[in-house]
Amino acid sequence: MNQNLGNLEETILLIVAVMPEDAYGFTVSEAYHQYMNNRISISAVHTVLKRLETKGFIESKMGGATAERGGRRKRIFEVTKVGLSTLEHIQSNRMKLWDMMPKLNFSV
Amino acid sequence: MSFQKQDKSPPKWANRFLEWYCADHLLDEIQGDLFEAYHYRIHELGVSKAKRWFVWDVIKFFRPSSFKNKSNNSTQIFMLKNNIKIALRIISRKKWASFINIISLTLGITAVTLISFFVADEFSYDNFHEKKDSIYRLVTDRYSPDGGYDYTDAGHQLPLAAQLVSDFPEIEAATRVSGEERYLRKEGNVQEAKVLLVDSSFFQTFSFPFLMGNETTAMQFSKNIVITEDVAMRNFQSIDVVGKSLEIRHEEVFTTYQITGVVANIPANSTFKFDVAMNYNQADYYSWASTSWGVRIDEVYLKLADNVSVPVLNDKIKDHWKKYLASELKESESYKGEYQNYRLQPLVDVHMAANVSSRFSTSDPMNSYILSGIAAIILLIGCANFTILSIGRATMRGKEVAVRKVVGAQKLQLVTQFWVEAITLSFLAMFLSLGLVFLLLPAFNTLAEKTFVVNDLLNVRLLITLPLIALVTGLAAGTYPALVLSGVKILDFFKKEMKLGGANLFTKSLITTQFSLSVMLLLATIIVFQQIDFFKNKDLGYDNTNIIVLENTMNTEPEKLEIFQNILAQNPRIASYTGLSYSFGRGGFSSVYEKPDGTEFNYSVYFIEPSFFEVLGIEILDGRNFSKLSSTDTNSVIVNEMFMAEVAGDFGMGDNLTGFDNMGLADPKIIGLANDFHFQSLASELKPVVLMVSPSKKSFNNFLIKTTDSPDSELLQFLEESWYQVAPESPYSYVFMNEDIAAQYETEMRWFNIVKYASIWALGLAVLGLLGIISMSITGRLKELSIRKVLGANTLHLYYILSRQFIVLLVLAAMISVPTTFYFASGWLENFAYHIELNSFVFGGVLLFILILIMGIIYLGTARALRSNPVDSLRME
Repeated sequence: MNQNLGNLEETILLIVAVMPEDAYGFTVSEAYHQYMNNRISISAVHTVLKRLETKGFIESKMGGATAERGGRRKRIFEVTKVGLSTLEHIQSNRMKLWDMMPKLNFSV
Repeated sequence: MSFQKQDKSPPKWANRFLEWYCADHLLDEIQGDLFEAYHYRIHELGVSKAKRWFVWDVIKFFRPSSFKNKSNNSTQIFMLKNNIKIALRIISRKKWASFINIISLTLGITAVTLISFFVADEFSYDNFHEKKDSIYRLVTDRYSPDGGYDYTDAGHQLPLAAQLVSDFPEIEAATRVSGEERYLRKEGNVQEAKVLLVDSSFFQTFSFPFLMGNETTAMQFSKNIVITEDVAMRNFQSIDVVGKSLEIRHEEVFTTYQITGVVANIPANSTFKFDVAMNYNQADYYSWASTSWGVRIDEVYLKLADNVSVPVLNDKIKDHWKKYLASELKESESYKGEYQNYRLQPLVDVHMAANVSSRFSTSDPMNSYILSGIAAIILLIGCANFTILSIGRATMRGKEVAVRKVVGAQKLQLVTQFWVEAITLSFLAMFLSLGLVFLLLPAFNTLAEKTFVVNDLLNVRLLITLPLIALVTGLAAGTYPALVLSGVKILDFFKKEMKLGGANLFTKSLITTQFSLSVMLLLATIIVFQQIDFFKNKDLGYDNTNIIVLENTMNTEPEKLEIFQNILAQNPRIASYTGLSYSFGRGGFSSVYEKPDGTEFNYSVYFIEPSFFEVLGIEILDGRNFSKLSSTDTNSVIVNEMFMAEVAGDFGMGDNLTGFDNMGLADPKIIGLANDFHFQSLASELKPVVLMVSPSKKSFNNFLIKTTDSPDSELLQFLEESWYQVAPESPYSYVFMNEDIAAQYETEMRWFNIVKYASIWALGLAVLGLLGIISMSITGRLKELSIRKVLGANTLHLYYILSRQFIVLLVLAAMISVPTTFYFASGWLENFAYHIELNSFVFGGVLLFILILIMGIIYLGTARALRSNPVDSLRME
């Protein structure tokens, strides 16, 4: 793991990873709202996606246009192998720590 | 249908804005996402909210990463960068000229910034009250019997406020307000405090935030007071003081008041400044006037209900006084026109209403205008320096402009280039002046009587104002050079027919203006100084040196004063002492005397003791002094020369003044004639004075002590100790009489300082500019001078040739500035009953000084060139 991932970046990367073929600016921001109970603007999502792409965690291609989008095409994002392994890496590191969590009950 | 569809689409302007700034290759994803989000949000949040979200998103995407590719529209940015680069190069190449330029602009911007603080503060008075738009002060416009407007008064009778509330449903609440100095005591520790007398609705009407207690209950009972944070901290070292008590002195007695609230310290821009606020409705205070329609004591502030039309209410309230003031109504019948009218004055106008006689200190808007004028003059001179120097360098820049034109530069591009240059300089100057502003702030505070603090000023407003001032300065300074230099004709330049260098008509008129303004300010400084000097040195008819003025706070216990006097008599350093109704310069009683022939004149009254003449060195020219035995001479007066002159035909020494019935005296006998003395400021005419022995020491508000030598701390300590020994309950406070008298001229002193600094500032700038233009013109004429030298001209002759044109300009400047100053100065001096005469020597002296200054500067600037070997400059090509 040679790249640092911020909290927001990690979350967005996760969202992209769980939404194959359907992750683009609007859907990612909606999913963020749905799962994190918090809103971030579409422009913020775009920034993070762009940053993740330069870091090599995700890649993108242009997708189809729909009527709701005023005939504009989507930029679909997909997680790369590096991205996926980074996520797994973070997760396993965390699990190790969670396993070490003392399981004590406090009583009087 | 189509209308609805139109309505449901995202805001068009925002969409167009997005399409304008967004790079084409990003438009698909950005606009698509925003459209899609908008589409779903309509269902989720409704149209209007979705629209707001859309606009917000468009604004958030407005950032460099989504902008169109820079190479597409970067010519302007590239040119801007290049222009700034060229500007910086020119600054570093022409160090001397750039130095003058930047200093000039810095001084100009600094002056404008400081003065804008002052003006902004003046106009911000009372704006912090949340309900300011519905608060009005009641004022009375009074008229004279012959029908003309007389003056406006803000004082009103005590019962009026309550009556207004019950008579007009439009008035929600009314509060009377007046202020005075009182003594405050906490555990024997006496201090002076500004006390504000108010009604219970005061704190609900005005916004003085409560730290402890609250605005609705704080003024419920008459023995409640609200104090400020400072007073609380000073006396209790805490603000948690609700329920504690302080003593306030009235009529010799300290009464206990309960603290019901603590408000934050009063902002500096508040008309009401107080340490303590207390209720009007107190048994012991103003009870004698509380139902009287005869005395005008307080100011009345009204809180109007919402949606009240002020003009309509004004019409209704105008004649309200007729209902309650029967005697005035009767009197008004003899008036040709109006007698008096009530009027509503908006709260925010109160501070600047210097023409209304008010209980609170107001400020003359003229001060703001004059200062703004001075700021404009200084900035103008600064900008003029820039313009003069830029034009002066035109020959050098002409080549550059011509080449740029040959390459294809448009006129607009060249104009922009010079503007950018000027603005770059003015921004550099702005940073320098920022430092200078903070350096000068303490001095400025003293001058302007403000209490600006660096931290308060470092706010958003300054960060917007300062660059704005810099921008305007840059534009103003750069306009003329930009237009002239960009207008250079290429062929003219290459034919060497360009006539821009040196001094053309425009630069000449700028220099003339600079020197006119400098001369004006310099003259103003000297005239104000002379007037102040006159105030200080004029023979006042009495001697105020080595006199200590005490506040006679024990005037209800005259027997104590007697004891105090006995103690004083034993000190050899005290020459004499006397009680006096009011020390000079502090007002006093005046009245009207009707002579036997029916004509009237005004006179002032002083209650004195026989030692009055000894203490103040006033002579009895004729007759005798009052007898030291208090029982005799109770119906005798001593008058001054003015009074004697007024009654000359009818009465003389030893006569009884028939018809004089005042202060318990009836037809008193004139027993003495005193010389005239200036008991008022020299701004007022001498007045007839009647001196009478006081029936009791109660009527002495001041007590004067003449010492044999100048009073030192030992003597002052002796006085204070003796005082408290006699009257431990009565606060002791003193001033030196000569300082007290000098304080009357504080305003004039302040203006003297302001014009003094302004003229130094302006003259410094003008000198810098002149220095610049001379070094420019020398460079341009070096060859000419060398040829003249070769042909046999001597240094003196060359010096004459070079300075000739500037002398002409000075003569022009004198012709403009002398009459202007004469006009304004005589207008100012008219304010004073006793003033200096404008002296032609002063005008001549200032002009001579400027002449010598100019000659000196020219000499400094040319000396090297004149002494140089002509070969050096002729060989250059």
